[in-house]
Amino acid sequence: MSGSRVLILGYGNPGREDDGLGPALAERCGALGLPGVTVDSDYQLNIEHAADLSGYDAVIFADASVDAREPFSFGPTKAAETIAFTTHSVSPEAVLAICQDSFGPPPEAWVLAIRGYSFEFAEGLTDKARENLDRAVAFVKSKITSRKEQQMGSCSASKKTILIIDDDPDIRAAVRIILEAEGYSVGEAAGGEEGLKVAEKIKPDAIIIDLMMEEVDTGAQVARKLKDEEFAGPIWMLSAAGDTVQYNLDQRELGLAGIFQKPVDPARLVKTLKSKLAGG
Amino acid sequence: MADNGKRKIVINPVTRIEGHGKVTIHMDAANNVEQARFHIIEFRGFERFIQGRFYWEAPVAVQRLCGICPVSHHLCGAKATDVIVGVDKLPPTAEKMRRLMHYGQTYQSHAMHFYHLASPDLLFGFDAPVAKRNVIGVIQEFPEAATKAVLMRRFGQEIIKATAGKKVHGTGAIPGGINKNLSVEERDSLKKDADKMLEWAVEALELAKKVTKAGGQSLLEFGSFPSNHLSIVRPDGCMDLYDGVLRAKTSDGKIILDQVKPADYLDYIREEVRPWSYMKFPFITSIGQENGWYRVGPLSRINCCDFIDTPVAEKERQEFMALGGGKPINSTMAYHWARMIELVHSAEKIVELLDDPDLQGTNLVAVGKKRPRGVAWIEAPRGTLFHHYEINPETDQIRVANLIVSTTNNNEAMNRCVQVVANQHLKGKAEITEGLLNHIEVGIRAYDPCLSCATHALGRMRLQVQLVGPDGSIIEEKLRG
Repeated sequence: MSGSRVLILGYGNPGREDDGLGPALAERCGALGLPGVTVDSDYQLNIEHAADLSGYDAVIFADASVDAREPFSFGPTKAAETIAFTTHSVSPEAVLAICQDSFGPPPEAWVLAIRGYSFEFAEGLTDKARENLDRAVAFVKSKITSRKEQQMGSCSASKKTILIIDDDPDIRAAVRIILEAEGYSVGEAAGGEEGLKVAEKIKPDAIIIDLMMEEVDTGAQVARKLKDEEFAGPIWMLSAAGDTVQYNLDQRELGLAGIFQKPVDPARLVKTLKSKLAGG
Repeated sequence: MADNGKRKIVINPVTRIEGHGKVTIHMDAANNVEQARFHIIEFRGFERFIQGRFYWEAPVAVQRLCGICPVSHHLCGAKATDVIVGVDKLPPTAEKMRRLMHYGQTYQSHAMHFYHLASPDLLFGFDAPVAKRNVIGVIQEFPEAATKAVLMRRFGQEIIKATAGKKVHGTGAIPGGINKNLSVEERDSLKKDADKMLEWAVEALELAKKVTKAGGQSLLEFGSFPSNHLSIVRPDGCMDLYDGVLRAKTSDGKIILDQVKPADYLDYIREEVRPWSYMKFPFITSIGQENGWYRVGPLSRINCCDFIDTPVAEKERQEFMALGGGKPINSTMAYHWARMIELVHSAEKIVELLDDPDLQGTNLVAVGKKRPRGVAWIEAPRGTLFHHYEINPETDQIRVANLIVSTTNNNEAMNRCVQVVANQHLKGKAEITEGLLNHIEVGIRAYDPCLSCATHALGRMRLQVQLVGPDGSIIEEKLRG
């Protein structure tokens, strides 16, 4: 995300339980007083929001989702080329298209889809949705803060390339979304051998490897080979059994920078990478 | 197709209409329409949502029923609680602030519906590809009009924000009055665009008129049927979208009821429940269930009133009514033209109100003696909206609530429309094409129904089209979205 003026547009009906996640996120982010950030909320995304986008460098559309990955998904989006059908409420892509056609180039855009669970007539969010909201707010805060740091030249994440090696395409996609949102370049590989080849090709600054792929210790084997090949960057292991791995893997011997527990906490992932790669 | 040759076409949900509706069309072996129904598949539980709340919470709480027309619920709820707090006449500032809010809502809703939802069908034809028949297609072919539509909707929203305090869950209207006036800064900000918005409204009306006339008799007959019409009017017969007495006319203009006051509505209107739909079917009691159903909304309001008290809209009303020689117009597609007359009327009222110094007044709330029952109505963009609350005077909690929303009032009419359109356009045709399905949608869309209460979370909206045999097997299925 580049530029200094960011609009966070949260939409949904707070009278329908988790449908209120979008406005709740906007309210929470507004209370944070993030520099350069304007928040707005509405029941629905509508055509006049196309005019509202003018003058912003970036926009985050925040909405509840009935089927997004928990706790939320975050990814770039762009103006729709075609629209299959429309209602009084419109999609972020349609708003961007209307903005593009009627009001000039739309801002860089992202969709933050926060997982909700219940959408009945009742006040307030469900407990699980509230947890997801907390993590989404932390993520947005981290993202906005890192954007400011980038503008101040303290960390140029866009120059860094991260390789994610995991046989689960959803995990790779999730890590890619998180890291690309931070300006990193991301390479992917679906297994150990492929990972070594991709690493040779793209020369990543850091690598994240799933421990259990073809075999239970494939990740450790890959880390060992990378060390033998004198890969100098930090390597993190990814595991669904993070704590157990802590005690059963010789991190020093493998040259690991650490272990991330699945599911990955976006804020922790970004913070850790930034800390390790800053100034490098 | 099943052995007996009968089949059922299912359109679910209906696109470009708020919410999740389902249309089933039962056809016989010769592809003649046997029966058509417009189902409401989402149970909304309005009344239970309101029961138990303190009455003064109602004007804010009821907005959460619908994200499409929250202002209508907000104002109707406030009007019902005016009655409960014993206030029959608001201070001028409060009444005019509420009216301004209401005209702002009507203006943005009508502009949005016409340009964004209806005009693609009217401008490109019902059989145009769905990829073109949407607002982006309008932007590409008619960029200036599309941009104006966005700014018109935004202007209406700005009025709502200035009068209700905010766009989501506005708090402006309270029992007995309003909680803010319009500052000079807010007034001046709105005034700078108001004349332009009236000008653009007239342009939209001209376009609606042009495409309706160009469509000729076939367009006017599309999905049309005779019906009763119902709306509120000012006691002297003038159109009034905010307040008045209830009037109903037959399809040829005879008065069925007139000068009915809100408190007496149960003596004149009843609601029927049918097992296949969650939505009730209201009817005029004196005529009965079979023939007492009626239409509401822009077409019915123009048909029911005697005149409009703003000059441009009145001139246009006269031209519109001349279509039927002064008798009610019963054409489904004439809704769009009528809606644009109301768009102009709303813009004229906004211009008029912004020049009224009462909006800067400071007497905002009236008080009276508490009553146990409050009934009110308002003409929401889609039609007449009823709110009826009864409270426990000891606890101030609402113990009984009954709401008849605009789309419910048009329930039977939309079913009739589907039946007529299906007969006109699906008869003898074996193939379910996009164009054919859209004819059904076009008919329903003219009523601008709102079914969803605005739950729109990502992943929920899609179009499912099924052709189902009488044995339940799916013969053909289409998905969009």
